Order: sequence, then C-alpha cells, then structure tokens
Amino acid sequence: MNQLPYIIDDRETPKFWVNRATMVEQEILDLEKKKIFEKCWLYVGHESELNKVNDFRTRRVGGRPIIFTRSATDKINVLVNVCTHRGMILETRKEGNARNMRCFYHGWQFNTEGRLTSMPAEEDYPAGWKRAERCLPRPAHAASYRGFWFLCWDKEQTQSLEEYLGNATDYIDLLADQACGDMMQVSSGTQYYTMHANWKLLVENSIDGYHAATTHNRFLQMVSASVKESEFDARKGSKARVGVRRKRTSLKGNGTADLGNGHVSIGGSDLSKGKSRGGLGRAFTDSHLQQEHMLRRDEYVKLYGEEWTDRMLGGRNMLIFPNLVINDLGMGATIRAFYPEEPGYMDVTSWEISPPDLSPGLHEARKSDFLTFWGPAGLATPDDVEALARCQRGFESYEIDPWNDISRGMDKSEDELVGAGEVQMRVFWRHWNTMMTGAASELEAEIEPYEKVEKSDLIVRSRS
Amino acid sequence: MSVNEETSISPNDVMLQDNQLRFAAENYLITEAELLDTWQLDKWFALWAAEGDLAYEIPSTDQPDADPDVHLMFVRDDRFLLRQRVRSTMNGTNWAENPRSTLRRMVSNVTAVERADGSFVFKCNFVVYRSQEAVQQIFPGHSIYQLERGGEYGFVIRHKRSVLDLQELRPHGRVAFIL
Ligand code: FES
Ligand SMILES: [Fe+2]
Repeated sequence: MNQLPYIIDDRETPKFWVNRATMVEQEILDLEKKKIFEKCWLYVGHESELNKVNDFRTRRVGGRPIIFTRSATDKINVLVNVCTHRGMILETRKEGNARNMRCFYHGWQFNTEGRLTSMPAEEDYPAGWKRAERCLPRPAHAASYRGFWFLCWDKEQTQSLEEYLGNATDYIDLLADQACGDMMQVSSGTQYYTMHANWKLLVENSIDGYHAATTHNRFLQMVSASVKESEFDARKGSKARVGVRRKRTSLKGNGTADLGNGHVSIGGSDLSKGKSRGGLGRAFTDSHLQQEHMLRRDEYVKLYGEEWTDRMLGGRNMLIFPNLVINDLGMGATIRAFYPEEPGYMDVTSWEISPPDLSPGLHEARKSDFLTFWGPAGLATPDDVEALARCQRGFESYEIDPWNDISRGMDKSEDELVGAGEVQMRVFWRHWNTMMTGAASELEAEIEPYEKVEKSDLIVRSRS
Repeated sequence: MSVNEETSISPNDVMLQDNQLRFAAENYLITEAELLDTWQLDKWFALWAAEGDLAYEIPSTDQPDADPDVHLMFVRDDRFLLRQRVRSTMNGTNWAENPRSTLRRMVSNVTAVERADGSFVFKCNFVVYRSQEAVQQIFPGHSIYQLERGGEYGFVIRHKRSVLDLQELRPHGRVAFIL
C-alpha cells in the first residue's frame, strides 16, 4: 500500500479524492472482507424465489456457500451449505425442490430446515452423540424486509436489519409497494456474470447519474429512435401519441438521498402524471400499453396518493451498503448483488423483479424493456462492464497518479448543478472509510440526511 | 411446447432428412457466420425477414429453454431492438466491441427440416472464439432458427435463438457481439 490515505476529504478547496490503491491491493481487499463483509448485513435473496415449500436455492453470500430454503413448515431459512459430517458442500444444485438434501459423500441427509434427518449406521456413533447437535449451521443473523432477505455473519452485530437499513426502507417500499399489497415477484432466469474490476467501481457506477450520456449513448440512441417510431406509428394510424415526454422526471441534480449507514439513492419523481412512463426506457410500443400504464397508475394513486405514486414511478438507483444495488427505471427493476473474488475481479448476479399482477401487455413490455438496458447482453450493461474493466487496467499505473477525483458538485447545492453531482459516491466512500479505519469523520455531513415519509396517514399499504 | 421440443429431430426425421436441404442450410449458416465474423452486420440484418415480427434471443445460462414471457433472458430483441443493436455496433457506440474484437466461429452439427406450413427449422452447434487485446474467450453454444423461403440467399430468418452452453457467463462477463 502506498502511504497515502484512502480518501482525501478536503472541505476547504474543496476536493474529494480516492486512492486507487484501494482498488488494486490484495491487503486492502483482505481488510475489506474482515471489516466490511464480515460485519454488514448482506443480501441473500428474495422470498419470491422460493414459492413452494421445500424450494431451495444455493448461492454464495459474503464468500460462503449458503442454501436459501422454504421449509416444509413454510418458513424461510438461510443455512450454511456445508455438511456437518466432514465438510463437503451439501447441495450441489443451483435450485430445486426437495424435502431432504443428501450429502453424497457418506449419505448424511438434511431437511430444508437444516435438521439432520437420517444417516447410515447411526448406531455406530458413541452413546452421547446427538443428531440434534449436527444441524446445518446458520449465519449469526438472518432477517427480511418486505421479502428481501439478508444475513449477517457477525455475532456481535447489534443492529437489527431494519435499523441497519435505516431510511433505505422507504426506498425499498417505493419498489415493494408496486405489488399493491402482494409480494413482488423475482422471475426465474438469473444473470450470472462477472466484471474484471474492483467491486467498489460497480458501487460507484450503479449510482453514477451522469455517465449515461457518454457510456450509454447506445442505449439513448435506442430511446430516441423508439420515440420517433412511436410518433411515426401515431401518424400512420389512429393511435394516440405514445412517445416519451422530454422532461419526464424531476431531477434536482441527482435527487440524491443519503439514507444512512452508507446507503444512498439517486432518482426523481415522474412528472408526466402517467402520460408517459417515468424513469428511463423505450417508448411504449402502442397506445394500448399507455392506457394500461395509466390504469395501473390510477390504482397506485388510490392506494398511496399522488405524491408517493409519482415517486414510485419516477425511477431510482439505490445502493444498500456494501454490495446490493436495487435499480428501478420505471420500465423495469433489477436486483444486483456482487462480491469481490480478487481486487480486480467480482462475481455479479442480477435478477429481475416485477409486480405479480400486471396486465399481460405490461408484463411482456417489462420483461422486454429490462433487457434493453440491463444484463450482460443488454444495450447498456456491457458498456459498464467494459468501462469498469478499462478503469481497472488504468489503475495499473496507480503509483504514478494515485487519485480518482470525485469532487463534482462539492461546492454547490443540487439545484445549482447543470448536470448531476457525485455526492452520493462521497457518501459511500466516507462510510467505507469509517468502516475501514475505525475513525468516524469529524466533518459534518455534506447533505441533509433523508427523512422518512410519515406513511400512516398517507399510504394504504394493501388492497385489503 | 418449448422451442427445443418443437424443433428437435426425431429418429424418423434423421432418416428422412433431405440431403439437399441440409446442404443448403449448411451453406446458409456458413454465410451467416462469415458476415458476423467480418462485422458486415448490415448485410447480416438483411438475412432477416423484411416484414412481420421477428425475434433474436439468448436465454439466461440457467434457463436454456426459457420462455421469454416467463423467464429473464439475456436478449429478446424484436425487429426494432435488433436494428438498434446492429446500428449502434456499426456506429461505434457499442464500447465493448469498439475497437472490434477478432471473432471466428465454427458452425457444425447442422440439421434442417421443412415443416408442414412450408417454413424451415435449422439447428447447429457453434463455438465462437473472441480475442480482444490479451484476452481470449470461448463461447460454445447452439442455435435454433426458424426460416422462410426468400431473400438473396434462399432463406430469410424469422426467429433465431442462440443458447450458450455455459452454466454461467463467467469469466466472460458480457456478450456484446451477435451470437
Ligand atoms: S461429508 Fe457429508 S456425509 Fe460425510
Ligand atoms: Fe451504466
């Protein structure tokens, strides 16, 4: 490690610089694993991935193999996927449904609650040996918020999940409320991919409000072509204009919200009142869909009122510290979790999440529109994958110029910005720095913390 | 019925396969591969049916038999999106393929059947070798085509599904060229 600090948070000049060594050096990654991934609540999966009893899914969370199950008694479980006999990975399938999971090495068998249910030659074990003591281990903590399950490996963790999520729960609500009281549904089909880049680059990228104009030019070309196409259709036939309004989303700078504990979001409200879709994406392909969208919006307004509805439909990118991103662009929403295998290499897993009861037309549009942007073959994500990998290559010269510059907007309020600022990234980095060094910054917060909406009188949570 | 079931070749079909048709299919797929490897994507796009719906699909690696309306895919392009994919790759804004990588694909195990309605189903296996700077990648998979008679090369593509024979897109990370 160069002897320089991780970050320079200079409020006089002002400037905010990040040491590129934090992206490159193995000892920093080792420290991150200890001080961040071992301490924080980490995303496991969404309840809707387990729709039937005895459904299970296996994955790695924080570098350890886990099984995520719905037990025979209809309870969600987060279990360590390692046989308690002599340590083999127990369930080798990615997903399935089974009352019992059998370790093929010597035949120990566990149910979806992690109980050791049978084994060969149990009689041969010593007299005091108890089967009940050899259940599958569990992480120190596991809990959920509106279907989103998290674990924490740290026995000393004193914050409950809801305390940890802090004000981010409002932003999860903005997505979860779209199911109108039902549970949002993660579709089957998972995007397992990688980026040859440090994991924090994907954090920054996921909440970077202004790289789209250049990096995602390709996507933006598609968006404007889709508007022309829909206008052309409208002229040809009797269809109503279904194009995208120029200014659909109110963005004060980024619409940045500091949600506490390193969580942060950027986004805005839908200003079109449903006349076009909020967020970002391909124009509706026909006026039918536009009408269905309006009907859906009406339903939201009835349940939640205008203001919350406009926020729900406005779209937002959110980071749940450290490694979960939930992006909702109005046209669709993605859950993305990632984990560093090496300083310059991470595994990324992405899911799609939708309200379960959309009209067939909106459902289909959503499935398709997701892919116009996201995923390893979308019209946007591959450009992020490329950009991040090229940053990582650039960092090979970090000893020559060790500094990334994240100062944009530092001496201005969001209203004064001509583009979008970087305060959301500074929020992340400051929290990261505090966790890594153990020293909380004495400087005051750059933006007012987000305040939760008083929901009791504003919002009716469910249809019933 | 999944695309795979609908288009798999029964033992009977193997006996009855029309050698001439298979020869034509092989020529067609070799031509297509050549156009893709040499980045002649406008010409490649002209292989597709000029009118009506079309679909170019890549399923997620964990759902190779995906139903596009149920499962999350990697790609499900209609005519508009496919045209955008081609256009932005040709105009240099597909950054993952600018500068262009060097591609070479092998196409084999070709089968071809004519369906009762006069349309055709071609299937083949492929391996694409991709080289970009010091990185070499291998993309193995298979493709299923639904075609009709017409066009400069005798057939036009209505539907193409390319299935990656990978369990995860790791360590590749992305597919920004056309499979
Ligand atoms: S290690 Fe699992 S049964 Fe022996
Ligand atoms: Fe991006």
